[in-house]
Amino acid sequence: MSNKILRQYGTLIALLVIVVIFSALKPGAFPTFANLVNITRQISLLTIISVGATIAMVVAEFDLSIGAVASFGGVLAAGFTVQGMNVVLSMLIPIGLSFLFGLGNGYLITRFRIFSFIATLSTGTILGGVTFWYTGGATIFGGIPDSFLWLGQAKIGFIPVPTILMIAVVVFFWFIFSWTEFGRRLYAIGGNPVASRLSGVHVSRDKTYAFGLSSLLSAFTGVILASRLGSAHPTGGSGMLLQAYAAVFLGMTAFKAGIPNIWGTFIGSLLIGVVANGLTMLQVPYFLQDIVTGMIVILAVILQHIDEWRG
Amino acid sequence: MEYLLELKEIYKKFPGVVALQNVDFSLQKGEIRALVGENGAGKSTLIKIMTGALQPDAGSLFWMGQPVSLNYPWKARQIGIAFIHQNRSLIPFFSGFENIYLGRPYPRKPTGLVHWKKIREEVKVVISRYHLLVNMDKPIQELPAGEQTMIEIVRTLLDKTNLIVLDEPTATLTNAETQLLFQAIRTLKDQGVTFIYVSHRIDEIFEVADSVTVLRNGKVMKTLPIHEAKKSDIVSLMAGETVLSTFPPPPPIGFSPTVLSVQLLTVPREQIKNINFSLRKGEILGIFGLVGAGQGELVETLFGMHVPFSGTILIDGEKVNIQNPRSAIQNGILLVPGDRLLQGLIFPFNVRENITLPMLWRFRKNWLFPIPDRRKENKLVGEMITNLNIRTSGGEQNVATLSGGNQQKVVLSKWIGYGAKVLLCNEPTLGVDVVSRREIYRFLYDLARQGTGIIVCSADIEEILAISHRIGVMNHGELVDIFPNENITKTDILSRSCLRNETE
Repeated sequence: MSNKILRQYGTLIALLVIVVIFSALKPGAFPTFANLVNITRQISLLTIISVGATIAMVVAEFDLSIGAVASFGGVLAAGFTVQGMNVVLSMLIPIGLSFLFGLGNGYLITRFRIFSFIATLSTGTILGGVTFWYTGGATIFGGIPDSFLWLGQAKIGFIPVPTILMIAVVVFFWFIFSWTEFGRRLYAIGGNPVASRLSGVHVSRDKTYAFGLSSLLSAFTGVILASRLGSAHPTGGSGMLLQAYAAVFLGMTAFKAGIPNIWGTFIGSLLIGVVANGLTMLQVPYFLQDIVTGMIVILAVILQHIDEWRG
Repeated sequence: MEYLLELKEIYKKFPGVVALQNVDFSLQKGEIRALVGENGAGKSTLIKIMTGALQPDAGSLFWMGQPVSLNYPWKARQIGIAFIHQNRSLIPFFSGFENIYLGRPYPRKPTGLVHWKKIREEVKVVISRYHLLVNMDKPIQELPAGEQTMIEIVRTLLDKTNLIVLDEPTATLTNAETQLLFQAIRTLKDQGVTFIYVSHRIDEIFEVADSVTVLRNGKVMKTLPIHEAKKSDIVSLMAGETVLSTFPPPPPIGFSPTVLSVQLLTVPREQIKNINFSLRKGEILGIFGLVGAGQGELVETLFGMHVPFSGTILIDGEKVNIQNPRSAIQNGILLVPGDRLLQGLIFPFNVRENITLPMLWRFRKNWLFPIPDRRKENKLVGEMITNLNIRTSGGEQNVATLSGGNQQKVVLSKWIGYGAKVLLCNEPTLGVDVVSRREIYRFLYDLARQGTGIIVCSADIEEILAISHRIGVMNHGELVDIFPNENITKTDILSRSCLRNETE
């Protein structure tokens, strides 16, 4: 019984324990409302891109192009506004192009039966090259209008806009996965693609949409990132690839054991964000944060299989 | 007189079935013994006991007159018993030389590197001693199936080997390859190697074996020298004429129109040739074939799982184009697949989610946004659970925790409300207990009464005899015969399915 609790809620318990430890170490700064709002803003980008990775994981595929797509989306949006395009269009067009790029990934994978791991690694590399080509390798920062910065820097009341966007994305995709036909079909495909096909599910089409959505959310993340920083670098999103999968794997250890799920991913991303926030407050060097995050993921996955290794 | 291997009073029970009852079996050195029997007669259990993969519950084994206990496969290997599986255990992109030394210590050079030259020499000695013709240099995957089997044989011969057990060795071989294999078997026999040859193909047995043992229902019916045996006798010994089942017969059908006709269906990749038949509304057509005869592939083809194929499929007299399972479903052809774990069920899903997957759109709250209405889902799932008597705590139970019979009922439920014109069932009761079987048959009968045409393909003759209006028999990918289920015996069906021609 205790094993079962550990397996289902281990990640949540770990989160609570970490919160308690940081609160004890930094009582004046860590457990405050302002810092909570701050953490939600810090994790918003990671959460949104991780939801994208989760969608691909639900159909049992990897999308390794998410980092490259985020860079592409951010650079293109910033570049378009600098060239004088309408701000809304300059954000929507890169997101739309990225959606098409994701559909292309899906087509490659389902039509030619290439492993998604290889296909997205390659297309991501290609897209990275295109992004570099577009900027000439430089960071885009001069001439970005203030209206472009609203998405990443503004607040509505006291809540940062990225936090609101994150909540909207999480709730929307939780709804899709829990309540719609499309969400049910995606889980069916991830559970058993053969049985799904024999049940009349259009496996290749739905998988293709999953990759489209994954890219769309990655590009959205890239756009918010560019808006937040007021600049865009052609490799700006690449660091998020591994972090996003860390969040997804942490999430697979929460709520539904072994199955990617949106709330789990949110908890995973929150855990990573809380650790980063707390360690920064304690003035721990940045590299140590990476070491701790990596160890947490390994620990969570080991705990998930606690029954197997005890037996 | 001393036997090479002797089994006495072997008894083996599995949960729910007695697999072997007081089996006596003895082999002389240098003999080629054929072992035949229907599916489930106990052949595999018996050879597993001889090769150390299974332990008998009672009985004893003697090797050259001495009692032995073969409680591990390596013990059988050690005294010289080799087992060549039906499914080869070779690495496809390794050459024969590389494969042969897998799992045994490689000869090494003083530097610690593998001594390939020595391996080649050792293997060549074996090959020439037994006059075998086999290419050891090419990757296995580039060799014909027959040579792959030879490589497995060579592998066993590297060690001291007295007895080789061959399980359906010719299932994937062409006639020419089969002849080469037989030649090799005879050569080895001359050098004193003994064989047990398990096969469904009665004709082959008469070509290669010295003697034959017939198993039925876990008992040895008879062992006799091949020159005293007749093909027809062996088939009737395999079949027995006890029967028949306690299952109720299918509902009677009067005149009803044809719902499905299949003309000249040929699937080159699945070795299915020139299939012609038609099916009427409300009719249950049973298709029997031994393992590998192609009956499963036939229904899978009708469900769009094997393309390309040639030939015509008509539903209600109209030609339909079936390229994938979705198009089959759209044309009213539905399949209960043969492997419920791999093809039927989605494992993270509960009973409800599994049942409603093919028809989620039926539960839409409104047409604007496709959200399934949980209440409508629960209603249908509740009906299915009651109708089919699925023993579960409810629709929310995970299917992984159900018994095999109840899992199979969940798979059947998926297609219920669908309005099937033709329901194809591939081995619908494999691994299903008797009570659930009866419920599954009752369910099929209900569908037949409502006018659904049903095809049940099965390797279980008694099932076919119990529930079919008509019976088709498949042999080597061809539908060799189709006849009404009247005054038909197991022997009739079995002889059509395992002999090359009806005439001897």
